Amino acid sequence: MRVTIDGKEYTFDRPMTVLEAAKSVGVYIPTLCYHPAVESIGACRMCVVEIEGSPKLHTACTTMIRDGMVIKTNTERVQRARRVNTELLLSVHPNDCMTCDANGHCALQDLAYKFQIKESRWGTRLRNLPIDDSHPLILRDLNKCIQCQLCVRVCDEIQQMSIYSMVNRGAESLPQPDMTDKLGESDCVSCGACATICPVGAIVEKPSIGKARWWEVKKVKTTCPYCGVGCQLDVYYDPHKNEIVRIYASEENPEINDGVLTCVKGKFGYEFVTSPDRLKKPLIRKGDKFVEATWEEALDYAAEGILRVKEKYGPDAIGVLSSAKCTNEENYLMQKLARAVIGTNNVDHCARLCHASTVTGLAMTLGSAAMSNNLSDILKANVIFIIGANPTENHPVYGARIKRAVRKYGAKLIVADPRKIELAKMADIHLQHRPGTDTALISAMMKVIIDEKLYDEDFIKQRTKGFEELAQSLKDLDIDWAAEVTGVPKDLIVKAARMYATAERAAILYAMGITQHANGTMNVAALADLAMMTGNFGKEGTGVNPLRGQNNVQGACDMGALPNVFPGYQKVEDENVRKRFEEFWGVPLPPKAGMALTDMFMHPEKIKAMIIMAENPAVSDPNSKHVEEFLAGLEFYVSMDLFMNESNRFAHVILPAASAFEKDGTFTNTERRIVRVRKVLEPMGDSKPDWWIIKELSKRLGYEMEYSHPSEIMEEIRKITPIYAGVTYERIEKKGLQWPVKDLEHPGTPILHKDRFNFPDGKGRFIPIDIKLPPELPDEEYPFYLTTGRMLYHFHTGTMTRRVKGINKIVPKSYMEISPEDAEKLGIRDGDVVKVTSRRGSIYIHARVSDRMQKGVVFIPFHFAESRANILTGDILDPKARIPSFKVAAVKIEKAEGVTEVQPPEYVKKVLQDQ
Amino acid sequence: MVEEKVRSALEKAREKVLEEKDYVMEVVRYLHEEFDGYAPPEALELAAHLLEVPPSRLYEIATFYSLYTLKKEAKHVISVCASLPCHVAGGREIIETLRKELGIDFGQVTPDGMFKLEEVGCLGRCDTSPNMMIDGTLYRNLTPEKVVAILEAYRKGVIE
Repeated sequence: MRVTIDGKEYTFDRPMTVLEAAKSVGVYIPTLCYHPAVESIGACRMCVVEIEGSPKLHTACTTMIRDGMVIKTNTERVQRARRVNTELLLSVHPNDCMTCDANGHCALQDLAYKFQIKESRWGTRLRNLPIDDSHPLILRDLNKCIQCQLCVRVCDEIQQMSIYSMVNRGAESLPQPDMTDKLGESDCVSCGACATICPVGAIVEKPSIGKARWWEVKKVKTTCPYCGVGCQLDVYYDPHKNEIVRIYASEENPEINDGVLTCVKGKFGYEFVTSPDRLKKPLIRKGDKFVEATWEEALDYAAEGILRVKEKYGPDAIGVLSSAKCTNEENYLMQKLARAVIGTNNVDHCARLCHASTVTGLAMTLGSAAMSNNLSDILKANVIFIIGANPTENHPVYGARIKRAVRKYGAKLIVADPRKIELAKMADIHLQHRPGTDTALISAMMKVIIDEKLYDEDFIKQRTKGFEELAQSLKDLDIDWAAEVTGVPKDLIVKAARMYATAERAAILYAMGITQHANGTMNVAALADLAMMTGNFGKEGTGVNPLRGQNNVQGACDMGALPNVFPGYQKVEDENVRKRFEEFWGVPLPPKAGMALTDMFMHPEKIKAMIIMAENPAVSDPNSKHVEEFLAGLEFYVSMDLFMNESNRFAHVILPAASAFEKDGTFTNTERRIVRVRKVLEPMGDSKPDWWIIKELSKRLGYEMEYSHPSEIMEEIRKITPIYAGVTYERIEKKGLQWPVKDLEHPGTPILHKDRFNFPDGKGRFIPIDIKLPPELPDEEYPFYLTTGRMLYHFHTGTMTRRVKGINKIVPKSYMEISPEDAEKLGIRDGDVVKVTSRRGSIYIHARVSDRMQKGVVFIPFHFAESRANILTGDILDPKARIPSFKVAAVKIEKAEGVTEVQPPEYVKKVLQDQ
Repeated sequence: MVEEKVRSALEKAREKVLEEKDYVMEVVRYLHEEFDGYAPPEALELAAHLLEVPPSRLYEIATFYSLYTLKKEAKHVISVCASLPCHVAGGREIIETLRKELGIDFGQVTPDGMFKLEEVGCLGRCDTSPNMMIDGTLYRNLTPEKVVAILEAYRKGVIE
């Protein structure tokens, strides 16, 4: 298409709007109501242009280019129209730029300046509306609203919450949350997208008010330190005060976070970085106290302690806990420290607690332990089957995309979850099964598919092995029995099976509701079986897609922070592999796989020292009391962390680490995309990046590590890790790359298993079904199912989000969800304190009566140290993945007479009191 | 009580609906009827819940149309047309009379809570202009005298 813009001719090879075309050739057209993330509506009329042959002005954002079109963007008539529109807006707009938080970043201010309008020719008549101060994180002053409707559209189209609508009509119509006009009283999920997108100062981030003017801040793009979605963030910070001022979604990566979206944690969860509780100096234990030390002293002390234990008991008495919160480079160094420096394969990290069964279950069936598809192609799925995942809370930005796939693109949705989670409410089918009956449920679906011959025969024949054995294992499965065991009516199971099997493209999404079981590996393998038998691989909108929990849990696994594999899942016990690593690292390496962290904690007689980086096992791991005893009993414990926490109070030396906002590196998100982490702030106090700490420790343990920047570590990683072979910082600068990236020219792999599965013969392996019920089920003494998990506002053990004031105002304390029927039976009202007891211990917690729960099941999020869910959970492990059964425990519940309040930890109280 | 009325409004609206997307529009209309001249927020919210649509959908409709209101502010709501066809047919005098007789302006309620005066764009009956509507009853071909008589009838309870 040839198009003339302002007298110059350009050629465009695809359809686009006049606005996009102009922008792409560097012609500026002002806009107010336009944002690339949402559909254009041409409401503000600021982008009007003249088009030859047409008498009227056209809005550039909604007019598509045509061949031969002659566009004039800057005529007198255009300028006049824009000027009048600006004046009309200014006629109701308060002239208070001096204290407005959008000053310097305001589309209206820019236009007023451009046209040099001091006052509207019609004078000024303000709206005199009250300010909406009801939300702890978002402030709305609609006196400044320009009615562009961007907040309405982003909330509806992208966040899919539809909190706002344009209320009233004509000149008075303004964006308001339903019914009360108060955001704090609505169902708002606090994602802050409305504040990000507002082109003026009508909706702003409350924690940012008064912090810095826009010209005082600098911007660094980085990756969110919370969940595995890996949202790309533009972090605005004040270099003089060394603090973050506000966070926006980066517009550069719509494939990850839509160019506009964050969740509440990504947008507002940064205050922990500058918390006064941050560890600023290395600490050495002296008796009952920690004493500040220099880095030299602390590192020497740490090295001596480790060497002492190594000499006394051998290298396998030392356990190394790496972390899914840290970068790839740090995880690589940590496992290198364990293997090449200390000489043990006892290295593991918290993936053991979340997706270890994904690693084993998918490696067994598909050959690759990762999400087969990617975050964007879910919009192409015809059927989405979500089991044991609650994305709208735990992967919120992706959760919103799933809602979009359903609401906008018409995908059918099947949700299998014991709780009536948000997505279950919009599902076509909700299979509300009993906790721990996933294999039975999936198997029953497969049985229906086999009985009704709904499987993909060609796919099975050409691409897989072992279907006969699988069919054999299902031969005697009675669907009526499965219905009874799962508690799901038979007809729903049949309906779901048919819906999934007959879809052209069906995607399975799952998370810890599948993996955190004593039969987690079987659950995962069963899902892979289901997808293989229906040929749901290799196409957009299909696949088996684990949603990884933490920011870099994929990367920590990829880097071999696991006891049995080197980086890139190369087996420790494979002699050829080991030889290659021995040559590469220049040292002999231990030949036997090491211990999983769950096993380490259970064997205090074997493990005498631990190095723990950025983990808080006393809250995150099962049977917490036992974990505490283990940590307290260690002969030597080195901790690398941001804060003092429930675990490292037992440490002998604590090395203060820099947060993800204070260092460079890479994370690998849940869709296998390696993305950059960039240093925004100078590290607080004397804290140091973990890679630096490991390097220094290594030196003192007798192995020189020389790196001046994490990019040098990545250079080393790519040389020895085939799936990362083509990864360099230059190549991932903007968009990242999805592994496998086989060489420097390889473009990355958005979809795995396209033509072959990752086995030598390329064929996927069906795994026969073996249905096992959870090891601990409710009985007379402990009559309730306890299931644990996460919630939207908090993260992991709370050490980060519970230091964010606004978030704590919304969710200040722990809670247990219980069904209205059970609550009534036990005489418990909403907010009452209850005592929950399992075979391992008891906690006190506030009850939240919720119709999300089915009878006989209670749910406790594990973020809260004062009501530690993991005091209750058991440490019975999956035999292959060594993952504990977090999702099912049996508990009893009593009303806690005389207790009216469970107090949060002191640091949380302080955060809430601070001004 | 609220739930009964909401369910009844949903049923009545369902019978009227031609296209799925009209449904919420009709629902607001019948809610207004069920609650005798207003659509309370809790009813809108419950209706949204039952319809499985965001409450904001109903809220925007209920606030967009000047014939709808969220609060019962007066016993009777007078909607008078202020657009051109009524204006040239004597509508200006009708509005003047209403203002004088009631002693209030647009958007206000008489001190006794009897009337609220609303300005509307068009009542769709330009052929009989000037027009006004009280609680859904249309009064056509108005003169100032007729207006005075109609108001009197409401005041005396001749018309409920």
